[in-house]
Amino acid sequence: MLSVQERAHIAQVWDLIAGQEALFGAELLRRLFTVYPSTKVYFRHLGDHPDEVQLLNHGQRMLQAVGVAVQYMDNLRAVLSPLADLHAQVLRVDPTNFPLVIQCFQVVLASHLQGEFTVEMQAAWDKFLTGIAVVLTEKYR
Amino acid sequence: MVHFTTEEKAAVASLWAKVNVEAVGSESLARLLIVYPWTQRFFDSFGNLHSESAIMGNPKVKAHGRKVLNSFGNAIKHMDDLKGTFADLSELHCDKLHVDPENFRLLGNIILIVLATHFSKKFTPQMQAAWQKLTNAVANALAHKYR
Repeated sequence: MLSVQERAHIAQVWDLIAGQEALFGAELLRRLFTVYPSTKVYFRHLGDHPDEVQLLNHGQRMLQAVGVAVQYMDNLRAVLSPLADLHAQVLRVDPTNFPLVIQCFQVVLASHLQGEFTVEMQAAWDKFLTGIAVVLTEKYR
Repeated sequence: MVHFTTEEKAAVASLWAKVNVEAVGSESLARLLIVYPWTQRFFDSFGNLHSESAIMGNPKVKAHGRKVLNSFGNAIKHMDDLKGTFADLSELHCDKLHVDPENFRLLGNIILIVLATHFSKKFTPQMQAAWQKLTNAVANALAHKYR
């Protein structure tokens, strides 16, 4: 359950990302693959050494989905249902990988927002992204 | 044993030279207690942890945060023998403090986020990778003597 303040923090940070989903998404993936190389096994369709265009394209898709989650944060289960099906039936990403993405996401936010990435924002986004991960892995079994 | 490459050691050392230990240490521990409130269970003796501002301003939190980050400074001097370096601290955290080692990983992750807020673009993916490897290794070293 997200409080009113948490929702405000989430929306406030999203305002900075909106319109730049590709750039933020590419940086997220670049950091994920550099810091946690084992995650690349789930992105083989991007090749062994994904180029900038591939990172931008796939990053944009991921961040656009986050944007949808921001828009419907009271109803994640319904709005992310198709993605939950995809992860359960096709992608089958081991649930232990989601905290790795969440960590990299926070580092991206922190490096862009610097001092403005307050502890309240970090707490709200950590909780929000963890909620998304729970929904995406809920149908696994 | 974890092996750090020359590049990783250089990356860690170059950033460490610019780290404000007081600021990063105290902020990291405060963020841990706020973002993951259940971690407060280990700090009953620290006094007022009832609000975010209380935690951020708590002198015991600041002092302990500084102490923790200073131990990272020691780790960086002994990156080839972290288990030996942290053996005594590991026993302390197990036998006296009874801290779940998961907390070491959580705090390590938060230290990275705080470093990113301070260093922004200079906290490159390669820098993040080297530091993540270090914080993971320190967490493992601190858990090594648990029984």
